[in-house]
Amino acid sequence: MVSDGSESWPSGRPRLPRGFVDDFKRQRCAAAIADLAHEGGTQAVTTARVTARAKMAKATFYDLFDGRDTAFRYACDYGRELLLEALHGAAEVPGTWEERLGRTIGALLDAAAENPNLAELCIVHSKSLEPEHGKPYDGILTDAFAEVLTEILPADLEERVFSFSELAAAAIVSIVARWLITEGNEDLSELRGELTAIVSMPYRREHSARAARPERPGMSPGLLGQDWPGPGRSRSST
Amino acid sequence: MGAAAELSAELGYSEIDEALIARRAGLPPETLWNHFSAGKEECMVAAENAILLEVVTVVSRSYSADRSEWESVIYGVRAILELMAANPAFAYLGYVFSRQMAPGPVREIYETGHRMLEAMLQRGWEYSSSPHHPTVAALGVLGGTQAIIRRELAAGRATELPRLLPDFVYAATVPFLGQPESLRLAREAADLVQEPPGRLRDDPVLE
Repeated sequence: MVSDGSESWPSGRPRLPRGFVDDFKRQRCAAAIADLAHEGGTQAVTTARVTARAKMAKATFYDLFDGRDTAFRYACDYGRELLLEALHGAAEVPGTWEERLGRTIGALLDAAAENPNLAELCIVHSKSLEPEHGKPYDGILTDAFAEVLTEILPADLEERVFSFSELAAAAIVSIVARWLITEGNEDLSELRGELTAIVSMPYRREHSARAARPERPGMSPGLLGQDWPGPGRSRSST
Repeated sequence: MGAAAELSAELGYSEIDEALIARRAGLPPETLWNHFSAGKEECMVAAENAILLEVVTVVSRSYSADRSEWESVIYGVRAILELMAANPAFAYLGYVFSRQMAPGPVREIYETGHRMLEAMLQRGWEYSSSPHHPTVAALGVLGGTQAIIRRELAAGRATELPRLLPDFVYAATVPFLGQPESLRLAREAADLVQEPPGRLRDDPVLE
C-alpha cells in the first residue's frame, strides 16, 4: 500500500532532544569561559561577560547552571574530558608500548593545541578551584593521565616504580601548561618525540639498570626495584 | 607570617582577614597593622618572600667545592624537602596557595623560585651530555616533582617529604645523565635519607 504522505514527516522543524540542546549550550558557555579566562584570568569570568560572549540570555544561563562558579567548574571538567578523551582514544590503539606511549603523548599535545583556551582553563586556571576530596583539582587530570601511562608502560617494571607515572604525567602536563601560558611559538606536537624519549628512558634501559644493581639484601625495593627503600607506601594508598 | 600561612592552608585566602591572623598569632590587631600596613596581602607576600629566602639560602649552602655539580643538586633537593617537612604551613603556602588564589605579587615570588630551581637543573645540564633540550627537561622535572609535593601536602604528609628524595633525584637526573649514573646518584640519595636531617641554617627566618 502506498502512503499518501500525510504521516511521513511531522510538520515544522525537527526538534533535537532537550538534553542534547542543553549540552550544546553548556559547551558554548564553557568555550566563552575559556576565552575570557585566557584573555583576563579567572577574575574576568563573570556571569555577565559569559552570557554576552556566549550570546545567551541570562535566564538561559541560569537554567543551565546554578551560577558563575558552577559554570566555571563545568567548563574545567569539559576541557579535561576533551583531553582525556583524546588520551584514552590514542592509548587504546594496539601497538608496542613505545608506539602507544608516543601516540598518547602526541594525542595530549594535539588536543591541547586544538583547543588551547579550554586546555589552559582546565590545566592552568583550574588551580583556583578548591581541592576535591583533599586532592588539588588540577591533580585530577594528572592522575587520570598517570593511570593511562601506568597501563601503557611495561608492567613488570612499573610495579616497582614509585610515582614514576605520576611524575611523568605531571611533568608533561606542566610543559603543556607552560606552552599554553606563554603561547609558545613552537609547534607543541614537535615535543612529542622528546617527551616520549624522556618518559621511556628508564624502561628502555631496564637491563643495564639491573646489571648495575649491587646486591644488598634486606632492603625493600624502591624506585625501579633498586636498593634504596621506597617511600613506604603502595601506590594505592597515595 | 606563620599564622597567615597556617590560616591560608586551613581556610583559604579569601576566608581570612587581618583580625583572624592577629588572633592566631596572639597579637593585638594593631600590631599586625603596624608591621603590614597594607593588611593580609602584604603579610602573605612577606611570608612568601621569607620562604623563598630560606629556599635560596639552603640551596646555595648545598653547593660546595668538594661536591660534584649533581651531588650539590641532591643536597639542594634534600634541603628543600627537609625545609618543607619542618614548616608544613609555609610549604603549603609556597607550593599550593601561591599557585591558586594568591594575589599577583605572591605568584610572582613563586615564579622567581621556580626559575631559580630551573636554572639549578640547567646548570647541571651543562655538566652532562644529555641530548634533551634543557628547558623542556628541567621544566618537566620541576613540574613533575612539584605536583607530587603538592599532592603530599594536600594529603597532610608534609613530614614524609624527605623520603621522596631518592625518587626525585632519579627523576631529576635521568633526562640529563641517563640510567646508570642516575641510579648511582639515587642510591647516594637513599643513604642521605637515612642520615639525620641536616642543619638548614643558623638563623632560620621561618621559626
